[in-house]
Amino acid sequence: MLMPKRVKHRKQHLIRPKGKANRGNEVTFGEFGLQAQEAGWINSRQIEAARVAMTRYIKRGGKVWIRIFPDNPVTAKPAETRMGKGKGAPEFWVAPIKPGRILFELAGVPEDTAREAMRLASHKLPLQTKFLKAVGMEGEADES
Amino acid sequence: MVEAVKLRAEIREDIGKAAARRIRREGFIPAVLYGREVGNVSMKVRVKDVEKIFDNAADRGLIKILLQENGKKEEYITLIREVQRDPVKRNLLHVDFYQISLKEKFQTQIPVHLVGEAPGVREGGVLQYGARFIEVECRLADLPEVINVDISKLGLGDKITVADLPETPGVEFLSEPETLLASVVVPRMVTEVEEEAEEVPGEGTEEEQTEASEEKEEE
Repeated sequence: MLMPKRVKHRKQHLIRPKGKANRGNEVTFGEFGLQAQEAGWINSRQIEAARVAMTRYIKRGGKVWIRIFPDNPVTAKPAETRMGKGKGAPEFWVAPIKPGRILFELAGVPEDTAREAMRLASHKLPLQTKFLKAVGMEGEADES
Repeated sequence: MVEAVKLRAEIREDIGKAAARRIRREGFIPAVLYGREVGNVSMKVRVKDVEKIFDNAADRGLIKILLQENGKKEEYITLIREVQRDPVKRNLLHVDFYQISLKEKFQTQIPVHLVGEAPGVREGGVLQYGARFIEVECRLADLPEVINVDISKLGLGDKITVADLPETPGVEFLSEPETLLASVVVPRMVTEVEEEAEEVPGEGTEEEQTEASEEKEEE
């Protein structure tokens, strides 16, 4: 699962994504992309589940890019603990996602395979997503 | 030479955020035309006309701007330099048109088309695209519509870079010679399966290890 190798501070404030993604909103590396349509957090388990769903469907061939990285730690207090006594222990890592952000990219597979792979991946994510094609791929325009 | 697509435009007097939003509500988008001869002109263009250019994949070619100003009509040969779109809705927000001279050299980006079938793909490799556009410098008369890259000799593990392109008369490639255009890579199917098999039992321990190391770091 994705997580930072080392961090400056173990516990951080949870970043609440505001506005739209002004960066990382174009399909850059592959031919097809999966774009977030709403704001939220995607944790490292969800990213891994989506990646596995995609790679299992495309079987052989193709290349997958993960365009997001979970670098924001989320803490939680143990069950049945009284309030206070400081912030809880880090439990998992999330990537704060703004609408418009490209989450995954795919290349080297036909479009129908890419669509199905992305559909399966989108079911592992807690956000609404959209399938996109890269701009400039042999005259193809991006589309929903 | 590439044939120019015509596009009507009007001079835009109002500038600023509120005016731009008003223009967009009226079915136009704010645009700007700049170049050595024309200077800097704020314009508005019909969004439907511009979308038609993108639908016909003519956005990398020449565009003849028919500019109406106080009853006078002027024509400029331009290229689309920059496009702003809404990240989510993907609708057009603003377009930059760069006026080019008929005599002087200018810089632009030309789309790359891969031609042929790579033998490496038949052997089980995956064709991977590199740069979709190449930065070139040329005169208007020499402007190519696309740059065709022959991949029919691309075996498994081979790659084509800008340095491998044949020389085109009148066209200078400005992109770095090592810029990758296409490659055939070995699929990672076997390693993926191994990764999955390793990850499932190791999930809990990996987390525990990291937590332990984090605690140590804090101490």
